Amino acid sequence: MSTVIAPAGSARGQARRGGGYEQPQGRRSNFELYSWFFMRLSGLILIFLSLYHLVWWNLIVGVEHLSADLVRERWQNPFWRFYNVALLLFAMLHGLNGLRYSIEDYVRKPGAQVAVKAVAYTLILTSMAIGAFALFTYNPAVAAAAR
Amino acid sequence: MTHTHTYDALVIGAGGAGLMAAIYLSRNPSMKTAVISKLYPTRSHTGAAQGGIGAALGNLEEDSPEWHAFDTVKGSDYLGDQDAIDVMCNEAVDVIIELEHMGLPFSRTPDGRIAQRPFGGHSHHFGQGPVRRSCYAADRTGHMILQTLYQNCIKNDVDFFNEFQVVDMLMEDRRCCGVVAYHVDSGDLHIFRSKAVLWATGGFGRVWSITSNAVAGTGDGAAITFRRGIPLEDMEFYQFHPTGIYKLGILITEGVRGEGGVLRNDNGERFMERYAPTMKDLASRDVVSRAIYQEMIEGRGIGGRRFVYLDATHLGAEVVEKKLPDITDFCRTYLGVDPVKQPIPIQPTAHYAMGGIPTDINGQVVLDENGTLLPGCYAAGEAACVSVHGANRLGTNSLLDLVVFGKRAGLAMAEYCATADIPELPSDPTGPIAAELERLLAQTTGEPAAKIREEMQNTMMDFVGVYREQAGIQKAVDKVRELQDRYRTLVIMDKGKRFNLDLLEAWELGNLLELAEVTAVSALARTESRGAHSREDFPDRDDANWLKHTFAYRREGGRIELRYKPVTITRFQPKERVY
Amino acid sequence: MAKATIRILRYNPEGDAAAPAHQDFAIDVEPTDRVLDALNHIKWYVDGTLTFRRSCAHGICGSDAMRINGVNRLACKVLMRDVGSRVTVEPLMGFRVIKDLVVDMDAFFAQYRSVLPYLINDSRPPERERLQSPEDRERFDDTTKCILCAACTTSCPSYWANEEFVGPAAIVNAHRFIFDSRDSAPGERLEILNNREGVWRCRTIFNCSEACPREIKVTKAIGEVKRAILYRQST
Repeated sequence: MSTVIAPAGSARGQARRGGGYEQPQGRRSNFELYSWFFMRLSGLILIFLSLYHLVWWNLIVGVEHLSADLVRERWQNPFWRFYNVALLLFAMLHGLNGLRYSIEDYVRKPGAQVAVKAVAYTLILTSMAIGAFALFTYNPAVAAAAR
Repeated sequence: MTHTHTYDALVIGAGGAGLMAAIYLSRNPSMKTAVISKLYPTRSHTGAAQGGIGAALGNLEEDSPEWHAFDTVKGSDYLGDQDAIDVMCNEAVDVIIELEHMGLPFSRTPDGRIAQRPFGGHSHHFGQGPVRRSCYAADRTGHMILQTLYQNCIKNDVDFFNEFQVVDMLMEDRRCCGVVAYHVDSGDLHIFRSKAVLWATGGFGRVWSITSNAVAGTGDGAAITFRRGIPLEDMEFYQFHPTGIYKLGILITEGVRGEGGVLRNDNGERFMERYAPTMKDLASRDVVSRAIYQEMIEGRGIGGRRFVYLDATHLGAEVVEKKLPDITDFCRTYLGVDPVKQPIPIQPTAHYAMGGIPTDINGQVVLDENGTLLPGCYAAGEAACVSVHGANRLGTNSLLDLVVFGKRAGLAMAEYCATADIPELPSDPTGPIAAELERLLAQTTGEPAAKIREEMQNTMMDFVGVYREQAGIQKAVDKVRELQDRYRTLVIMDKGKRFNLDLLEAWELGNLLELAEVTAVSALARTESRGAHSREDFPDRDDANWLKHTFAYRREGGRIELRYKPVTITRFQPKERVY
Repeated sequence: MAKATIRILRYNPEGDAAAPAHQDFAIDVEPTDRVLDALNHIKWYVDGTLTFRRSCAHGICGSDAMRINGVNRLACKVLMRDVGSRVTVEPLMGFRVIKDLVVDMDAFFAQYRSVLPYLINDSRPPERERLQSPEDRERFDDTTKCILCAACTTSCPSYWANEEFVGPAAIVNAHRFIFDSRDSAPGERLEILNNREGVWRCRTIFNCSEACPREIKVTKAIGEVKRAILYRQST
């Protein structure tokens, strides 16, 4: 029957008569808010990081002059290492966020969603960790000696 | 399958009047109230009203309810009942403030008060010149009213039965005891038993071919009650709005002229200066519609065709786009015309029923010309005839009528329901209507409803339109009766139970034919010209014989009987009407 | 007059076919006819079983939202000359189809009700109107235009994916009150919308803004609500 007397309860919570609904206790969280805000900020930073990265290596240095020596030289300066760590982490987190959205939208079974998320998070967080570890612990002297 | 529901109060129709009544009924949480509508909420035609709602707030210049009442009486061509008009104009200010408190987003003056603009027929100092009285929310005032009222119904937790077509009224011991509704989705009949019923089912513009009314405007409530022995009042008075979009009939608000737009004929002449030297383009609607017709008849329609121009090009893009955004959109969508740069082709369009189910000033339905009240039965809005509009309604007074008399009916019903008991139902309440619907469905050969409807609409447009005369109206009466006969043999293609709009459209056509007949018969009898009823063969108003309301009754054997009731005149004696 | 083929996705709940199927109708139309006129012509003179909602026929009642050539439109606001001689008409996506082009709107209205879509101000009202400057009035003007036709909500991929999402239309109507200077409960609405199924399921895809027949900047309105939630948390 199409009487809209009161909407049925949903995962969002129990409908209240007269509009509104009761959010179940424990479901209130600001995670989505802060995640959104973080994505906005880091997204903005990411644009400049990647733009500079792109312009420097591809246009100013030029792909044809690109070599391991140049990279090694650059990584002598800790600033550029942090720069690259930031580029890596922000890019991966944005990718992860997109993946999370897709999983939440399309993997509807709660159990399956947890499982798919676990796999996706593990893969991405691991590669982030490996990348960050490599960037921070890279030793130019060792690399040079190895040549 | 039949279902039964019991309520204290039922509101039929979810437009302005119905929702206003529902809000007042639901203020008492122990009062079980339901709104039954054949549409989803907010689809009702109140939402199409554009220009504004009249009230003498005096936010921009001096104004008074007394002037408002005078304008309404004069606009009605002295056929409006002056006690009812006083009630409406006096309560207007409070009810507008109340709507504002409910959340209605009116446009604002620079100092933050409700904005107002001039409108046709509204004047200061008893006709001295236009006054800014129409309270508006851009050019979507009706939309805002409908939304605001629905929102407040949600707040008050009113029960809604959406897409339930009320098809019959239940009476027992000369008392209204409920309705029968057809559930569109399932095809089941539902019995609603209640202490009081409000008919707020709107108008019947679909009787005519060029109309501003929604497809849903089929006068269901008026037709149902008429069949059940309740009279219809002043049905010959049907308003043609001067400015409908050429061919489509879609309304272009009087607000365009309120903001300074003017009407022009083929010579580019501002012809209203000749017809109404003081109010010009802002004369009342019957006067402007007749003037447009006259221009067309005399060959000054644009290119000799049946339309004239509404010119807003001199107002500038700022005024047109900010104050009339929806109109601008309609013109661009349907005509490919930009009203900022080009004039709008318009013609008069069937717009509003001044007549309807007769009620007293509390919305209670009146059974005869002596004022006998029918217990438990109420009507409000365009479906009803209080009568505040008399022979011609002023712009902005329809929205006002809805909210003032919707509220009054709601309050009266609440008071009645507090002491009344739940009435007994008649035996076999669904019998007659179930038989009628089955009969409609059973027919396997015949013509489609659309063909009959088209013929009715063209006939009524040609012969019971802006101008009428004896032979033409008689032709219309005969034609409508012939169509009523053919209606009995029409064929419905959809034989299903679920969402059978084919069946409902045919049933609605039955209502339209009923109302078309009453309109034509009432018009034929009235041998004078008054307000929207302009007889070419009787061009003058005849107060000696016709200063009275028509009451039409359906009698045994289908005959229509006309009786008359005197007009209530208090302060304003009938005078010649000049704008 | 010109020939046009109207292809309609039909579904009869009482028929034998379990799944909806397309059916073609070849009819004569005027270029200035609305798609709604074409549908009416079919219903009235060709096939009376064709079922769709309609009322005002000029874009303000919101009854006849449907998919026309793949995009959500009001059938009464699209002219035949703008869609060519072959038109495909299908019901809105994301709602249960009841019959032909008619969909079940109850869930949609339930979502609308969930955002407290009415003015809340429990302070004693003044004798006259509550004052509001034209600038304050302008702040929420865009979202007052909503006609609840559901074109936005049913164009939203996030809604297609998950009907628990409150949907753009409900957020638009929350926006209308959150930014009304007369309202005293924006916080309550922001709390309701600060939820995974509230504004945060919006992925700024912009389908809603494109679909809105009232040209409401829906995505912008949702963005303003998101920011309002942020500012509220930080104060």
